[in-house]
Amino acid sequence: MPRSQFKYDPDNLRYLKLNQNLRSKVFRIFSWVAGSLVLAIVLNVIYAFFFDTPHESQIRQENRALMQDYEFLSKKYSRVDTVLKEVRSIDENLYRTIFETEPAFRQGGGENENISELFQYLSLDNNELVENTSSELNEIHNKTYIQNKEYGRLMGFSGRKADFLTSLPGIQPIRNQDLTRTASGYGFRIHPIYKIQKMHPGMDFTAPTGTEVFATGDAVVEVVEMSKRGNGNTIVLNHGTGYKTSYMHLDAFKVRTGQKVKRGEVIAWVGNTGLSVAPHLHYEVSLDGNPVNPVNYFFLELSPQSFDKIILISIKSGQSFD
Amino acid sequence: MFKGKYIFNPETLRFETNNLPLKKRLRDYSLYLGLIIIISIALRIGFDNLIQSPKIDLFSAQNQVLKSEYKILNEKITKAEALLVEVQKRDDKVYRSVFDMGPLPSSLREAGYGGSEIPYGSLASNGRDEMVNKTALKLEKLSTKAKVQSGYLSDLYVLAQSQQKLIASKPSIQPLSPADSFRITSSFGFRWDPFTNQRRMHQGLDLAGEIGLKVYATGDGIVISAEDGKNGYGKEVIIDHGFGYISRYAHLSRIDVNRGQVIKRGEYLGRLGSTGRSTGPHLHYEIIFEDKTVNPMLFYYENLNPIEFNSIVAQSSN
Repeated sequence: MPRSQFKYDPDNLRYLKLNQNLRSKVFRIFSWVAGSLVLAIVLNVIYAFFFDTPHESQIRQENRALMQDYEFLSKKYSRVDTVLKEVRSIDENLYRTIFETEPAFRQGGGENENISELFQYLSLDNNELVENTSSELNEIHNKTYIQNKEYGRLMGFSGRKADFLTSLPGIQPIRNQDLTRTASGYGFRIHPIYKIQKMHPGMDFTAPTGTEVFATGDAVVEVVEMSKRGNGNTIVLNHGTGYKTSYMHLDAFKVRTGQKVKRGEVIAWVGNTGLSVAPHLHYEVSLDGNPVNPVNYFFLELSPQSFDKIILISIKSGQSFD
Repeated sequence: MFKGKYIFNPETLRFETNNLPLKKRLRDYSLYLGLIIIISIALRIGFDNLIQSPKIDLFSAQNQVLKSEYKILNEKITKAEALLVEVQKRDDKVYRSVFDMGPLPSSLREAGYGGSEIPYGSLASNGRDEMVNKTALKLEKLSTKAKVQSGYLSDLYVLAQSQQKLIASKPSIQPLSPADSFRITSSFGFRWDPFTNQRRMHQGLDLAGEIGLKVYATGDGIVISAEDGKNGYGKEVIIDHGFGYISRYAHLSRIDVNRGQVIKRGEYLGRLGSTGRSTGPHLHYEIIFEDKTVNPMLFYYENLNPIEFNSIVAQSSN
């Protein structure tokens, strides 16, 4: 600015010369720059509001794609979930049809169910059922305790302890580690054909025809009987010491009368002969001629938890297979 | 900024307003604007590299939320997969065993999945995001397995229903109550006739008892004949049970059902008699399977006491 600048003073009607010193010049330039800066920032903010940097734009796109895909996959999952609900429902209906009882698996029951959990589940269904179950359970527990004392007494008398132990029925008659083949147990059950309550004096194991059947203790083969009626093809083993075990509805025999067998030896194969609705093994244990609950005679194979579990499964299974 | 400014014009010796010509002013303003824009852009670029814009913070936060939702979805899928595996195990070990079928080969359970690729192209992220791809793949597998399993289980269920019908229909009890006294006087099959010295085929089972003993249907079915057929069987009732099974109750003293009547196992149909070609009061009981007579003793077992038999009779009127 080469020429001096004047300001009009209306009060005094005079023209005043403006100071052009350095300080005011600097001040003016500074305020001019500051103003530009502020404006720039404001413009920036407005611009940023409406537009994206390339980086921002990229992330925005990415997010949108993720969101879209998430919705797509979520919807698809819902459809799959519907199919799965259907699967679960048919599963439960099949179980009910075969076992005439409410399925105990529901939402993925794992292997760590303890009795109290299963009891909680039972109490959802039927008070009577719970009462019956808990009294059956107590009965079994008591009998087991008594039985153990019996063993102690018998062992005390028997000089040949080792022989007594190996002859005792002590394992499951078919491979059933995970207990999935456990079906109806000892006691009153709905008969699968007559559809009435009937005493079921043994334990059923569901298994495909041809599954191996084991002798559950050292014994002598007492009876090998072929039949198309009633119990079907049957084997009876005599373990000495008063115990006998019976295996029914067999497909074929592997042993003959009089033969000596050892615990774990294959004696026959599972079938569907006689009065039976599906291939399964009907297993009985009798002491001095009286049928006893076979579930007490798996102690050599089952852990305490498995024992509890098998009791509950065998009790809950409302319909026997024979 | 320049308002109210005057300059001294030495030529006119007057104070004049310092108005720059329009062009000059425009030039100044546009220079000014240009400067602002340049500063803006410089700022933008500068800050973009140095400071996280709030938008990016927002997007990052959204991104995190999305990723955790994907994680949850993945967990749901994993749980569903585990459940399906449990159903499959039960299917193989229990259900298929009960219906005498072998376990399903795993290739069939995974059927339809094999070589098909998950169409990443249909995904908005187009295969770029690993998390999305993993989830989409898992979900596709689960979807296929679920559908397949649903199909197989439905088939089994239908089979189960028809099996239940068969169990109810196929003759499975004795036609006379165990509370009544009767004896088997002639069983099924060839027997030696002492009077004619010939082998004769006896088509059924003879149960001798007092005239008037109640006779019961041995399986659910439909009565297809309820009269004296004038064929030597005397007053007889014939029931069609479906599944190829027919049962016949002959020499009755009276019939108390009608042709066409739906009948259930344990339902009373008539009374033992000696009508037709009969040498004494007895029930002649026959079972015919696919047009051939078969041994009726294979169709019942004497494991029902009178009380249990009566329960079955009582049930038939429900």
